Amino acid sequence: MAKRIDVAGLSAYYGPTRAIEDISMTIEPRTVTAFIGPSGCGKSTFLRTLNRMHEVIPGARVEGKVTLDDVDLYGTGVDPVAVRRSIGMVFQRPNPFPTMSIYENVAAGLRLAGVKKRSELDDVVESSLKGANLWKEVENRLKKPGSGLSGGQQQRLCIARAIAVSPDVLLMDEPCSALDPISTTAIEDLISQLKSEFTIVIVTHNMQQAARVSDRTAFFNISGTGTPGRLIEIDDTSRIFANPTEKATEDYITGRFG
Amino acid sequence: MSGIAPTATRPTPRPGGGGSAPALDSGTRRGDAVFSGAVRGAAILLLILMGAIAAFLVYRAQDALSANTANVLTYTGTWAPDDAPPKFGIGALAWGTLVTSLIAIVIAAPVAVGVALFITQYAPRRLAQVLGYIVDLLAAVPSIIYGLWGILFLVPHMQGASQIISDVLGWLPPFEAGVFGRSVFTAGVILAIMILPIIAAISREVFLQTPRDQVEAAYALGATRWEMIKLAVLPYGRSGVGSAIVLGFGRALGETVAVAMVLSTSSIFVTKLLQPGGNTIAANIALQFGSAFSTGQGALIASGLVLFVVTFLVNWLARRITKHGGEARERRGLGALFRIGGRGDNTPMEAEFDATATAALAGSVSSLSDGRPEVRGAFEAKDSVPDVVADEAAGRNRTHRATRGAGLGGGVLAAPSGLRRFRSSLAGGLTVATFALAVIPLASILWLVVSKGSHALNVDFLTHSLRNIDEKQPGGGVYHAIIGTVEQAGLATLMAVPIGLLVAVYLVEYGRGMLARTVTFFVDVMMGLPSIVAGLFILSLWILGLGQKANGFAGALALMILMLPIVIRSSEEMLKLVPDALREASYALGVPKWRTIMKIVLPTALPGIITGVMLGVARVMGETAPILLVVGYINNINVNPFDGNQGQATLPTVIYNTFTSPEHASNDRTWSAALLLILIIMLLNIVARLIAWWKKPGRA
Repeated sequence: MAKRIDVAGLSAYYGPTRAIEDISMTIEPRTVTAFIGPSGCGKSTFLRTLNRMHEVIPGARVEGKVTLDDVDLYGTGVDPVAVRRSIGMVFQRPNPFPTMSIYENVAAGLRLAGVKKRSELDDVVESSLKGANLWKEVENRLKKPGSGLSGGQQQRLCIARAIAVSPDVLLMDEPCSALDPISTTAIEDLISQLKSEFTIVIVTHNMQQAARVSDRTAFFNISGTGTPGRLIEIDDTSRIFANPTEKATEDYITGRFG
Repeated sequence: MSGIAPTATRPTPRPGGGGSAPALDSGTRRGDAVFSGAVRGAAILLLILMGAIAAFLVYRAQDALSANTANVLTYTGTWAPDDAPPKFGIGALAWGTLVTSLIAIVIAAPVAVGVALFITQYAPRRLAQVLGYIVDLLAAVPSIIYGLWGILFLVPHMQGASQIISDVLGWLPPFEAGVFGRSVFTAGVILAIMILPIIAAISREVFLQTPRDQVEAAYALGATRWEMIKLAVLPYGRSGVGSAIVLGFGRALGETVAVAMVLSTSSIFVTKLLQPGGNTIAANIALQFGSAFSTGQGALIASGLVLFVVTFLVNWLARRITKHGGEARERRGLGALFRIGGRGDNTPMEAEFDATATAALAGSVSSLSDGRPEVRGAFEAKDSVPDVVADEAAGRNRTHRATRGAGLGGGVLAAPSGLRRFRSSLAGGLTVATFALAVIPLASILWLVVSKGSHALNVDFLTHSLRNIDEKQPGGGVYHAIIGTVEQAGLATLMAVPIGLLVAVYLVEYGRGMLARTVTFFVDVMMGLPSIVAGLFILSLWILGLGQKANGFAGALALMILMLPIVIRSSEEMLKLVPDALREASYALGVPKWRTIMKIVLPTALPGIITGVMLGVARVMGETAPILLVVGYINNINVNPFDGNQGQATLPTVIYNTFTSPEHASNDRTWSAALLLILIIMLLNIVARLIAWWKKPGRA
């Protein structure tokens, strides 16, 4: 069930260093929102604050508010474990659990949730792998280790693993940066399909990719080394690429700055 | 690194001298030939040494075995190889060795893994670092200290514990009543306490290597901390921890003095764990050696060979397990034994950084995920019902949608179920409990040694020998033993470092093909060698074979055998860490290979090598068993380790020879010697690590 994310006045820190400053935005359900910007501008950091993965890093903390359909993710009594269950994540490098088979990788999240019935697991594994466009390729080797797959297949396996627990939102942190063009196309197609069911947020370095897959695009920037990253603007992707409001966005997109 | 770079750019002095064209032949190539010959020679020397030792051992053992009139496997009478006809059996000893080591591993393995999990996953960041260092230091405490604590503290206290065990488990034959402190069970407990820090240190190292992306993948799936450990940390560490346990088992099998001091021996096949009796191969060698004549020594050597083969198989198994988990991790695992800081392709600094980061990660997670259960419960109650209803109402047709309602509890941000939450807390609590369990005996050892040893430890103690000092008499000291310890360890270092360094250079810079593989294999074999067997090596080759005297130098030779693999292994690790770019930069300037190694590679690796050597020195200084076999024990000062007419005392042998005394004055001296030994070894360890830390590349 796709949900909406509202962010208000969010800043994130690594120890004393402020990495991103005062970010507010709304991410609509059943859309793909892309984050673009130069390296070190805090896109990934911001993404990780959305499912409370940021605080896994030592000394890291967050100020501000993130709400998922009116529930404050950083509110009192909210369990980060539960937040991450509702907001799944796919990482830059595919990271299937190496000791587990393809089947077990996909079932891992459900097993954690206490699903034991074999038939139920079978169904979800199949539907998730189908949802990740991987089913046909691995149908006959579900018991083989996930690490035996190609990089692109591994990444789709990780997507299957993330959607198997039916999250409300799917965060993707440069999911194609470690992949070849063919695998990238496969993932991009998948993203377009998944958005009918999930709210998707994707960080990408590739502006063509942002233009291809996203409905909305957010541009982040830093004014200099050591300064925190800021959200410059967020708008419909077509507008950002055709007619951005801010000069910095235009400079970045046209390659005059980078 | 920056200190090295200028060296690389300095022009190489040409053999021909000023002004002429560069020599394209002779000088440099001859230097290379000589150098590679030297390192190859050292490698071959190592093989010859091992071959000669094996030959002499087998030869001595065979003599005694053929003279034996009893069945060597089943005989359980008195150990009497010097009687006519000679009678001795090794089967019961081997059985006793296995039983004590099994008890040790059953107790130590789960506790050690729990301790490692606690340190890496649960303890707060700063505490974790401190605890890590403490575990490393405890792994360096010599076995004589454990033995001393065992006989004077644990044995009297074990009777109560044994009573409880026999009350509860008495209906099982092995635990039948007959409560006695100096039982096989007590020996097993001592061994467990001894090997615990070793297993914990390696496991900690392995857990710290868990890839961050695996940890994040687990958390991103909504795993609790314990579930993350099950998903990411344990599967990754499985083979490394497995081999750590097997290595610990190997250490227990070969342990000599701690068992010899604690166990009340008899030559039976032990079946009753709580009753006195039984014996181990290593302890039997230490106990019988003093009264052994020719056949007796042969019989002990034969039993030593059996021990050697068993430990060799066990260590081989450990390597097989790690091979399964990848070559790189094996190196890290073994490297962890000596904590050089070099792991795989990381520089020590990076490794340290990773370690800190991971430990800290665990710390911050632990503090952040502790929510408030009541509030969360309310949350769940409020949200889950309408949400499930909504799901149902929407009539979602995809299978896993349905699953969500049923399996995931439905609530938007509902906390994991009470059971999962409980399990996670329980697991955390258990690791804390194992840590406490491990800390109690280890803290008790240190406390006892410090409290009992400190009042007799004064200047007089350091400057006087035990000559003509009666057990009842106060005063006297260990000056003679300090001399012996320093001289023997010093001589061992003088021999082991050049040979070891050359072999390491050979393995890293030249080693290819059969010879390199064979040398690596033998270094691995030597690595797991029980120290008493090293003593037997020197006994059979140097003393019985070549007719040399049992003096300090013979002790140094035995210590060298123990030190060599440590020096080779640690130097090897350090040399491998030197980036190839540095070598290439030097080659590109026309510097020959041997000069590149001498001027660039070795200086770069030097701090790490020194650290490894110092840890090796610390290790052999605490050795007791080999010294018992090849150095006579005396109470007076002998500064000449080559003196063929008298032996030399060392700190560990002073402890071993005085611990049975019932007199207060002598007892105080024993504890003081123990405290002094621990202090010296700790100091060496700390300085070694400071050097590694101080010289870390990249440290500003």
